[in-house]
Amino acid sequence: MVVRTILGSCAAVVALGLLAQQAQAEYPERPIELIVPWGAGGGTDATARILGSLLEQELGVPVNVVNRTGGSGVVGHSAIATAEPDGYTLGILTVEIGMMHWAGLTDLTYEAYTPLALYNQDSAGVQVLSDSEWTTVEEFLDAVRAAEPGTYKASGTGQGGIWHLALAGMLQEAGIDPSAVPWVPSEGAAPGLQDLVAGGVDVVTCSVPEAQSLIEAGRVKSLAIMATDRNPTFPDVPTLKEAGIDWQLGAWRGIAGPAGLPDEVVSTLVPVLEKIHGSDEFRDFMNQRGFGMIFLGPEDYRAFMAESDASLGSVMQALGLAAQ
Amino acid sequence: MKINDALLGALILLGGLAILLEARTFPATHGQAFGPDLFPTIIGVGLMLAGCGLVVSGWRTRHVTGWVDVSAITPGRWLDALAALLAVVGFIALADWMGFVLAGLLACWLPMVRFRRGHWFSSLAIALVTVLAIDWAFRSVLLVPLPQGALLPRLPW
Amino acid sequence: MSDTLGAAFSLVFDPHVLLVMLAAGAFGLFVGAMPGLTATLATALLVPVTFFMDPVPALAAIVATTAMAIFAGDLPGALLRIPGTPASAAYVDDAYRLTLQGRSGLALGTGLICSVIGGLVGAAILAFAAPALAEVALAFSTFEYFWLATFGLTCAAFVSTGRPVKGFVSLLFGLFIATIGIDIMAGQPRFTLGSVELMGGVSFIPAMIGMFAVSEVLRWALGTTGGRDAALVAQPQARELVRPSLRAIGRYRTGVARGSLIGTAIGILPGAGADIAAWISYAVSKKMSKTPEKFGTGHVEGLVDSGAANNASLGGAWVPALVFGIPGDSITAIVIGILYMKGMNPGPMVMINQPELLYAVFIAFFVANLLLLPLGWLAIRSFGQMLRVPRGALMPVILILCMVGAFAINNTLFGVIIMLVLGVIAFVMEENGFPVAPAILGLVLGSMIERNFMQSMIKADGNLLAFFERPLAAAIGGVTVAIWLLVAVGAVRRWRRAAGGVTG
Repeated sequence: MVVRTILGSCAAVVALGLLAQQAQAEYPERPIELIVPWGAGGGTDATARILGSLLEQELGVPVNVVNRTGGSGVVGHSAIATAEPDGYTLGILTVEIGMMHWAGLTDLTYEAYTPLALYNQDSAGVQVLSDSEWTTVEEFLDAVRAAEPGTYKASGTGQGGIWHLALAGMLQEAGIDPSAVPWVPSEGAAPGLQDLVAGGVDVVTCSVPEAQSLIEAGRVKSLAIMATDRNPTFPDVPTLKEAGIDWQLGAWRGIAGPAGLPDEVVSTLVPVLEKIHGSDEFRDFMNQRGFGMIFLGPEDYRAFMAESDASLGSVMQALGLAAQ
Repeated sequence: MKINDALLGALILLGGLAILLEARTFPATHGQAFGPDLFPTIIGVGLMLAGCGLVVSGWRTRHVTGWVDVSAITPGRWLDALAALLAVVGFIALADWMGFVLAGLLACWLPMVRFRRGHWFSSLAIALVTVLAIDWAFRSVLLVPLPQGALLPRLPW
Repeated sequence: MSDTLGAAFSLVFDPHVLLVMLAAGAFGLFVGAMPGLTATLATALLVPVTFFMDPVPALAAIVATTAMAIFAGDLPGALLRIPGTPASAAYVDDAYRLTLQGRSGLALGTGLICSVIGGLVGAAILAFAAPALAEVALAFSTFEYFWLATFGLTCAAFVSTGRPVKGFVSLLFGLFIATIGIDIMAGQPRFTLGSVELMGGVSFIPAMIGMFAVSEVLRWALGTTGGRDAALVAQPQARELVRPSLRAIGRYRTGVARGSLIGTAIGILPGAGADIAAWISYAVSKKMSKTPEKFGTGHVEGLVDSGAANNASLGGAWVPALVFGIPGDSITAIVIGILYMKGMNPGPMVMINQPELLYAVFIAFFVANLLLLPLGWLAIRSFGQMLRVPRGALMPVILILCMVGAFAINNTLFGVIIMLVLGVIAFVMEENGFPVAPAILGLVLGSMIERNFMQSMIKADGNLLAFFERPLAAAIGGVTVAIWLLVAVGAVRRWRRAAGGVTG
């Protein structure tokens, strides 16, 4: 009798457990981890944290933003790629995913991920001191042509980083040897800009939003942006194309999971992300920081990454920044 | 645990040499006088010089100090230290599979039993309370994704 | 003006804001006292919470959290020789030895009161001199930073104890650990042994936990330094907390002033924060002291300087952040993001457009530091109870907390491995007379020196004289070289005297 009671209750518990599992099978049923390959406080981290909190509201489960930093982004990107593809580990991919394998740092490419949505793209700009004699990008380029190679120095990110490519590509397109303006590697845009103001370098080719506070403080001016159209937040800054140089480059950020995410996860997340992207909170935040807004769903995003990867690779090879 | 300076010096010398040799393999930066090998080279050379100095001074005093002096440590204390190290190594090895709660419980309980020479049950109680409190505070309040593991479901917080 | 100030006061002295600060303060005390959880992490965790707050409570919460966290790092440092945050590492030996002498009340009381004074000085400088000082900070180029970091490294000569050659090895070891990972100057992976995790370098926090906590647990287990059977140390006494601490601070009042000013200055400089502030002011204190030989043996003088300095640097770091949007440390890097989110874009415009919000932040700094006094007192009293727990039960609990802390910095078990390896190395080092402090200093400053040297060399096309061409660089460089010469001359004199003593 006792045995039967025990057996019976065991069966009941098991059945309840199964039921519970059935009921909970709807994704998502537990907290989601959102990996950011860059440090807390940076631009990527800021966008990830707002995305995370809006996702949390929409999905009803906690979304934890986790910074996995170091190794020029390799550590965080590989943590996203090697996570269990169950939809509970997602991450932010940045433009560097299309660069680090060309540089020989890793074998990872965009193919190691299930793309979900691309949400941001920021074009490179050409920033100089506001009391500089250069008022247009042509004047700057003429000065470079006229001077001894190596006279002017540039900064804004690490060696072979995205803003380094932006500068080198611009010079090459303008018919100048890219090594005529040596690159002073920095830990990011902010230290590079600080060095510009301190008189250490002459030009910083980071994105315009990154220079926003110094532009508003009247210390720095932007001569041009490397985009097809002007940035609505900075309508006075012309594009390189207007100066006759056909060169565009920008950094982008998107959300993705490891390769092989179940369709159910993708079909749950993509509409939610699209809704968040259109929400006032997200729009206000992005505009406030001057981050460029763009939205591409999984298919377009994958094609975008493939294109970005190929063009970055050819630029890096042309400039001798790719591993042999 | 006193080790003669000559032995440590030799170790430092070899370490410095290894750093130096590895640094030789770093490619030079194009167009620059100094590359990524500069600082490791300085460090390697510095370690080798200091290592030489220690070898000399240790060799002179070898009759006074001996080579390795562990006379102050009783066998029981070696086991204590071993228990502490095993707890950390075991946690690293098992946490991903067992999850934080179980691996942490073992890593806390077993050395405690060893350190206290018994008290199996009170140690278990302390370890259990510690691990559950950490799990709650770190996982729920501080949002640290502690290893979940495959054995236990997520606790109800 | 007075209208703005009145509006700012009413913004801060609102029950809701004060309640938020109280809760944030308790949170900061907890995070700071946990080894591995830093003031920066506490700030990052607050970000999602601040989404739903008005600007003033959001910023006040961060101000309160960080002020408490930096002080709270002293608690495990003094009682267990495990600094709760990197900012407490510089003077952990002195604080812990005081505890062993039964004077933990003096160590923590001094730390608390100096933290409050330092925090208030930093806040006052932020409130009254921010624009002018931010200009100075912005004039620092890589040449100046190189000299500053080199100057910091010379402090190793002052914080080191025992034979100089062993201090030198320790320093080089720290510098070597700092070179591991991808070198940002050339994108070259160094000493990574093919590991992706090592490409990211050795994180400072797990390294520090290992070198202090794991080595301490091993030392206790092996009982080699007599700590094991030492009588159970007394918990902090309430009467020790106030009068003896005030007396010590009175005796070393120049130290309080010096530490507060050095701390604020280092906080203002982008790229150097509370930990470097504490190290430099500890070394300066020892250099200026009448009794430098007492440092490291349970002497309260260094605690006074560096306890004030690390809290003072917090206010300093807001100077370039508010004026130019350039972070003064890793905490303000996050703060800048929050400022943007709240529509308070950093720059001169915020002073013109929203002066009342800015003044409210300054007032919050003062309130937070005054709040630290009662909250810190409670924390000392309750944390002190830990000393009653028998060590046999306490040590495994500390070990598991350290493992979680080492894990949490990058959310990977790799941090625990770093903690273990460096802990064992540090244990062997200390057993054989190699001081650990220079290694920690090398780890903190290593990449800063190398990066700024390389950047400067690229700018100067390899011309070493460029390090003295800019007036500011020449000044800092001159001071640094002069200190080296003084140290060298002193060493030669001592050596001569020792040699003379033997032969004569």
